[in-house]
Amino acid sequence: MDSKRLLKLSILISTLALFVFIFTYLNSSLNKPVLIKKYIEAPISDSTTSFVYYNEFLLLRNEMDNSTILSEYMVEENLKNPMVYEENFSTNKGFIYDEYSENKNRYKINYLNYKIEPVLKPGENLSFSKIDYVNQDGSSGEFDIGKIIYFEDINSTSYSPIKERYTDGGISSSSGGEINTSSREYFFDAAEDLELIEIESDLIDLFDKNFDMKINNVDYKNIKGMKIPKGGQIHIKTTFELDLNKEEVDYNVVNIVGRLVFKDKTKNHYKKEIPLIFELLNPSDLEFDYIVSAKKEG
Amino acid sequence: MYSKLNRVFWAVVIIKISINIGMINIFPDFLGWAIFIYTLKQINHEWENDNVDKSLKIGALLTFFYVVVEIGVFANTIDKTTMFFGILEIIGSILSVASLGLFFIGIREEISKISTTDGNELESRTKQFLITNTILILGMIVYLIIPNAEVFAGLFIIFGGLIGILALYYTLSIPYFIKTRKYFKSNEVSIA
Repeated sequence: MDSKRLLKLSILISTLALFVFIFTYLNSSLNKPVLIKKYIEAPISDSTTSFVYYNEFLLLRNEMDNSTILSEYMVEENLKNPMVYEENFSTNKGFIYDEYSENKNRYKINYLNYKIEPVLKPGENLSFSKIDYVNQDGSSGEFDIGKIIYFEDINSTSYSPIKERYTDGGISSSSGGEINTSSREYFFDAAEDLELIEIESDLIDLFDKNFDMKINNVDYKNIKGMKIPKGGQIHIKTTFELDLNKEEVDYNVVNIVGRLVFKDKTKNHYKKEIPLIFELLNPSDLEFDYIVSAKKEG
Repeated sequence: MYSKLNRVFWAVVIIKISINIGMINIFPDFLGWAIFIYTLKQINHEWENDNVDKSLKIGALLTFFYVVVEIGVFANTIDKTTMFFGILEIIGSILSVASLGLFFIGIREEISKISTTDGNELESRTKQFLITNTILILGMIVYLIIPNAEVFAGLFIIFGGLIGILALYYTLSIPYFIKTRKYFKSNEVSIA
């Protein structure tokens, strides 16, 4: 073979190899696990064991065949004891996660590591919005997980001057077409004369345009000073509405746990949790693509 | 002719050797390619060899290519640690082999007219040049595919290093061989 032929062959082999490589690279770059964001408020337990158990769904996509892998993991952290999270929280929060072995190995995540924000101080709310991950192949990155905000649990107080009428409460949700709604009603009876102060929540502002709450038909932003006489009723209706014609979303769960803050005649302050869970779609039933870019053309 | 071939030799040295002082590459590839194509244009004015002409055209493309890459790296728009840079490096290497290979083939054709022995020697060195450089490029591609394989990293360094040295040797040996021929040294008259 003369050098001219050899040159042609060399260039051909190198170019082919390069194309094969680029093709492999582009395919593997599609394999990055994708996580659907969730926005959640949850109470920190006040139990003596001071552990918080928190269940979360992690949804990863296999882009090669567009199937979904749904798995559940559990975060078990000692969040309550300030000593513990002051000393240990910034270090060891990783946990082994090997649920994927039966699925595609390339998605196997060795550990996930929550990033705390802001810098945690005892007494402050605790929130997460990022997770570090390290894959089995050594590659690593960061997930934006939306927001998980823990607040101090207030349900454990033994006395509350309002009592919920469970029979009247109602939960409804619909996901017909492009408009998804979730709503819930609460009815409380006041055992004393009360004055409402505010609704406390770190998530409401983020979803201001989707979230609506009426307390005795008054918008939650205007309840300050509202008087509830003894024996009177507090009727709370919360709604979360998402119109996919108008809004593009990359989350599927919003769990707003607003706390109704009120006081009695003797100025004792109380809080009552008013949870509303909004689930856009059930991820396991749907094509992943639809969730990450759930927006209608035009 | 000798001075021109000497310039080609140094152009290839600049192309093949990279020395960085801080952020700045004092032997930038585009400079080497610019000297290379400028000199080749002068040489081929006499020879009018088709392969040298093709080599010149690819060389011109490479000059432009490396100007863009070097500026990109200097301006931090191209990150040297990314896969994208790796792909650019490989494309540059493939084109370099094409350009230098065509030049070596062209010059062999011309030298064969004067000395069959030298022509055969060049033919054999060009083959070595092509084989070692092809293996080097394939090695670069494999290295990019499995960047996290620490176990193989050592092997890659040893194997890649050896092949790299061989490839460099054959790349430089051909222009050196040409410029040291007596018929070029003894007179500056056209060989045609």
